Amino acid sequence: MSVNYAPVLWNRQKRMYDRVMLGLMALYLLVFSALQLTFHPEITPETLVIRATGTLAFLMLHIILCIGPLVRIDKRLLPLLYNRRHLGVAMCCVALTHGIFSIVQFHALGNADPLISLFLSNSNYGSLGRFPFEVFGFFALLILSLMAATSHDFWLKNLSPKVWKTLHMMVYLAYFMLLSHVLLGVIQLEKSSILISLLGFGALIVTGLHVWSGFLSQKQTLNPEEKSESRDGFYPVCAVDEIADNRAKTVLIKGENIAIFKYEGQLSAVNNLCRHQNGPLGEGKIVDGCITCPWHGYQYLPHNGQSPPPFTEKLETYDLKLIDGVVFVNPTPYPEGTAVPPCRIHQAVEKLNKIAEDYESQNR
Amino acid sequence: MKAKTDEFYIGWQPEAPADIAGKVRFAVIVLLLIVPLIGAVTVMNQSGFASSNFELGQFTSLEGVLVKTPAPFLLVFRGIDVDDKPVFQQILLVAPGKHGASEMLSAIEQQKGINLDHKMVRLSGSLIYHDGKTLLEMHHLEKVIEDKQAPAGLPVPVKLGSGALPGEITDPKCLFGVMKPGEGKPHRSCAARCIAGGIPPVFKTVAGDGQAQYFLLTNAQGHPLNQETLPFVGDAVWICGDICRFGDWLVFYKNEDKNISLATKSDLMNASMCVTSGK
Repeated sequence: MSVNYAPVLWNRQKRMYDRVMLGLMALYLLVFSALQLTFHPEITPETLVIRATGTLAFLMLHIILCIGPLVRIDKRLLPLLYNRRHLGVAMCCVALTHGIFSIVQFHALGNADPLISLFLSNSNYGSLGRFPFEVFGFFALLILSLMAATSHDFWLKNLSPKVWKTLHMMVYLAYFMLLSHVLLGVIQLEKSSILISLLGFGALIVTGLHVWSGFLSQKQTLNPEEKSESRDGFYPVCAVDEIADNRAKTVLIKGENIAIFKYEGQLSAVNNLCRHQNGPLGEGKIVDGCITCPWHGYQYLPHNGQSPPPFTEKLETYDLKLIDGVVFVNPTPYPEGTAVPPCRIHQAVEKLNKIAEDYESQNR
Repeated sequence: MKAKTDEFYIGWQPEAPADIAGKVRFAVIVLLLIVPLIGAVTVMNQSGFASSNFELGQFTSLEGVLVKTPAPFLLVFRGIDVDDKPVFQQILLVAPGKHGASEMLSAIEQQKGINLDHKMVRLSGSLIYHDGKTLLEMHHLEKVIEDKQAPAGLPVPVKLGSGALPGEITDPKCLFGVMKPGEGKPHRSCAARCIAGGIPPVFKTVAGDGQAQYFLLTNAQGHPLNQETLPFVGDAVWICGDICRFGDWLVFYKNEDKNISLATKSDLMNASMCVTSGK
C-alpha cells in the first residue's frame, strides 16, 4: 500500500521474487542457446534470438496464466501472485524483443514500410492454413504492451479498478492469439509431433487449472438466493460457527459479492472486491484489526470498509443480523466507507440463550 | 482449498510464514526443473537448419561477365573442361536488403553512362552460397574492365524438357544463406517482400530421394516472374512450363496458358514423378 506513487515500492519479498524470476529466465535462455549452438550450429544469431525470446515469452505467459488458478487451489502459493506484474512486464519485454527482431528480420530493408509489410506481404486472410500468422503475434504484443504499460498503480487508480481489470483480462485474448500465431506459423514448418503436443499440453494445463479453480470458487461462494426467502430484505447465509475467527465467508446475493468477516466476537460485511486489483477480500484475513487482501496486502477496517489513514480506499458495507445462530445479510450496499455497527455475536447468543431460558421456564 | 494452517501471506511483510515459504520453495524447484526441460525439448524436436552461408560484413571481389537476363548474373570464368569448353560459375547478383540487383545496376549504368550487359566487370560484395549455388550481395562496382574482351562460349539456355512440377516459390537470397529457415510458412512474408523488391523468384522442388532442384522462375519470354508469383510465395504450388539449363542454373519458363495452382505437401515430396515430358 502506498500514498504516493513510486516506480516500484521495493521490499524484501519483491526483491526475492525478481531474483528468482530473472534467474529462471537466464537459465532458460542459457539452456536454449547452448543446445541450439551444440545441436544446430548452422542457426543464425537472429533466428536464435527470435526463437529463444519467442519460446521464453510464451512459456512465461503460461506460467502467468497458471498462477491465478493455482493460488485459488492452494493458498500457500500466494507469494507467486504477489509480484506477478513484474513477471508480466518481464514477459512483455522478452516478447517485444522477439517482435522487434522478427519485424526487422522479415520486414525491414524492403520496398515497403515494415509495419505495412507485416499486414500486406501475405494477404491470404481468407484461408486458415495460409493465414498471415504474424498479424496474431502483432495484436497479441499490442495487448501485452498495453497491459505492461498500465500495470502500475497509477493507471489502476486513474482508469478505475473495473476498467483496469477489464483491460488486463484481455490477456486471455492475447493468449489465444499467440496460440494461433504459433499454430499457423512456425509449427507449420516443423515435423515433430512432440512440439504440437507440448503446445496442446500447455493449453490443456491453462484451461484445466482455470476450470478446476472456478469450480472450487463456486463451491466456496455461498449463493443462498435460490434456496431461501428473504426476511425484511435479509438473506440467511450460514451458521455463525461456520465462519472461522478472523476469516470470512463469501456470499453472492442479488449480484452483490459480499465478504462477511468474524473477528473479536463480532461480524462485519464488506464488498468482496479489493479496491486495488479486485482481489478476493473474503479469502483474506483480519490482521491487526484490518481486513487484509490476500493478493497484495491492502487493508480495510471491517466496520466501515475504509483503509486506515493515510490511505483512502473504501468499500461498500452491508447490514448483518444474527438470528438463532444464523447469519443474515442485507445485500443492499451502503455507500463506500459507511460505518455499520458490527453485529455482536455474544449479545446475539446471550439474547438467544435468554429466549431459550424464558421458553423453558414458561413450559415448566 | 485452504492451507492446512491458518498462516497468511502478506507481501509487504519481511518474512513469509514457514509453511507458505516451504510451498513456494517447492514451486521454485519444480520450475527449476520444468523451465530448462521445456527449452531442451523445444530445441531437440525442431527441424534443423540448412548449412547455407552468408558472409555478412566480409567482402569478396569477383571478376566476370555481367549478364542482365534472365536475371543479373556475373559469369566468372573458371577454366576449361575436358572437352576444351570454357567453364563459368554463374553468380546470381542481388542488392543489399530485400532488393534485386537490377535497380542497382541501372543506377550505376545511368551514373556512368554505359550499358553493363555483357561487359567485363569487377564487383565487390558478400557471398551467399548453398547446395551448389552462389549469389553475391553487391556492395559496389569496383571496375568496368574495358580493355578485356568477354570470354567466348558464354552459356546459353538449353531446353531440357517440359512439364509440371510441384514445389515452393521463394527468394534465393534468403534460401541460399541469409535466413534460416529461408523457406516455408514462417518465411513467407519475408520472401514476398524480397521478391516484391526485385529479387528474382526461385522455384525449389524436392525429389522423392530428398534431392532438391532450384529453378530460376521466369515467364515464357525469360523475364523474372516477380509480381505474378507474389500470392503463391511460400506455398506448395504446381507450375507448368519449359525447363532449360543455363550454365550451372536451371531456368523454369512458366507456361503462359497455365496458371500457378496450389499443391499439397505430399505433392512436394514427389517432384520427380511429375515431369510430364522429356526433351
